Amino acid sequence: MTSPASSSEVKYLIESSEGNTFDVSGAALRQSNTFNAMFLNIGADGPIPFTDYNEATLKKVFEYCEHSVNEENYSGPKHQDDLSKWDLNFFNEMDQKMFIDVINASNFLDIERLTSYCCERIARMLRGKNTQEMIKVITLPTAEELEAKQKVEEKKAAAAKKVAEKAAETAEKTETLEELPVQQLVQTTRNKLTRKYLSFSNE
Amino acid sequence: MTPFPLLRLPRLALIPVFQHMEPSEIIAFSLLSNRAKNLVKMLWKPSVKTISFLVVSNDLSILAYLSNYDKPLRLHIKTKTVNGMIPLSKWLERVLDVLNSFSIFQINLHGSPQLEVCDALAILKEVRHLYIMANCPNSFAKKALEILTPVTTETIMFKIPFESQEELEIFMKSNRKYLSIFIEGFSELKFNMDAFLVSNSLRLSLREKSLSARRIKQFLSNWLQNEHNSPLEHLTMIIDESVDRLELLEGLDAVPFSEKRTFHYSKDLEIPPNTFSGGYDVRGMNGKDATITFEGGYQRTRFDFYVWN
Repeated sequence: MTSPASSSEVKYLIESSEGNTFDVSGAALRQSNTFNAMFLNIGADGPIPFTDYNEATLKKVFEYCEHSVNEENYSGPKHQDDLSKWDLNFFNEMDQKMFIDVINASNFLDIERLTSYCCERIARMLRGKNTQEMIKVITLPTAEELEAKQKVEEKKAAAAKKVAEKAAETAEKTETLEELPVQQLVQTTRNKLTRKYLSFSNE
Repeated sequence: MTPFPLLRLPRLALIPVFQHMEPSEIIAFSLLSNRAKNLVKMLWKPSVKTISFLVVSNDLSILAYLSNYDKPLRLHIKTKTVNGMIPLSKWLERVLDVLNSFSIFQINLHGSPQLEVCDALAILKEVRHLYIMANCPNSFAKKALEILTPVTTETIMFKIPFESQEELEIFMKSNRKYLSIFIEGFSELKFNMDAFLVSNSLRLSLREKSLSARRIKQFLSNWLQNEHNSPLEHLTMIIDESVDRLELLEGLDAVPFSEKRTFHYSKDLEIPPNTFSGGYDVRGMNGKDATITFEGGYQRTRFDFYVWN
């Protein structure tokens, strides 16, 4: 459901990860540099698949785009202080998960204004904080945790290496047995059985 | 407040996050972990104009001017490692790694009770100006000079931290670029100008009003007799106005010269050419030509000795 993008009245169909479709105006969509690069000149045959993002996220993103259709062209980062009441409500009503989803979608769709406002919001969380204070506001493994994680991984790798070596050793033995002449094979098996019997008897 | 999972963001989205942050906040973020540091290095490319260090007592301060930022970056760390804090050497390495510059424009050393500060400075690859301040303890100054002299272009000393002439001469031999000594009473201490003869510095500067004409002449005579194959290109001294110029030149076979000439320094010194008029030309036993100039000032005379290549 598409047509040349010159008219702002044109509606485009957007498809979400759930396979649902919904309308977005051409004017709103043109705030996405990704859309402009992919579909603006050639148009789209059928719904535009933004199937990496769910319907709620995409609707939220395009709600912002629809709202800012009449605003002047984006001219670089602005501070939260410059945001309107509507903008502030828009951000404040999102929970953390939705906020991250919106940043991801906005980043993919390359909507400069929305991405910038979101990033400024994140930067605010870190403003004026030193390293120790930052640890409290962001989920980021500390150097010590990473070191501990690395040690665990090293242990795991060492254990895996041992298992692999044992498997290789077993395979080698099996191979050796297969290569033995029949008489020797019989003798080897007998020895093994004897050892097994002895070990049982010792118990 | 739920901690924000910053690393779940797409990497490219972190670029505008950093754009909204102050350089000091980005540096603080980079100190969180190696992963954080690598992210910052990958996504934040500051263009460093100059970095300067100040070591005073238990603090090391960094002042960095970055392109695209109006305010300079100011960082401070305690030189004494406290439990739970990142050690100074590691901190310094991380900060300079993130700034992608191990070249320092100026270091002012007032000294620190922690001698290991000098070891932390060993990661520096280039220092333009190193200042040994008058209150810097001798032990600290000596260790700093030992570590930093090989990478320093100009060393400026407001004190001589050496106990003897021998120690001073060892240091003078190790300094291969530009050394300035701003200390009154140099000759009243246990030092004499022989140290200047054995020096490997290309440029020497001494503010010493108490030097007599006889002592300066002795230095010049020794230089002309080529007792030491000094690589010296330019010696500047601020001497007392009462020093008799004629007495100083007597017996040196000095020839007056009045035209304008331009002196070019070695590339290592990164000093622009110096044009001057007049002076007295002298020739050493080894055939090297040099020019002596005098310039009067308020209660002082500037004495310059240029050795032509």
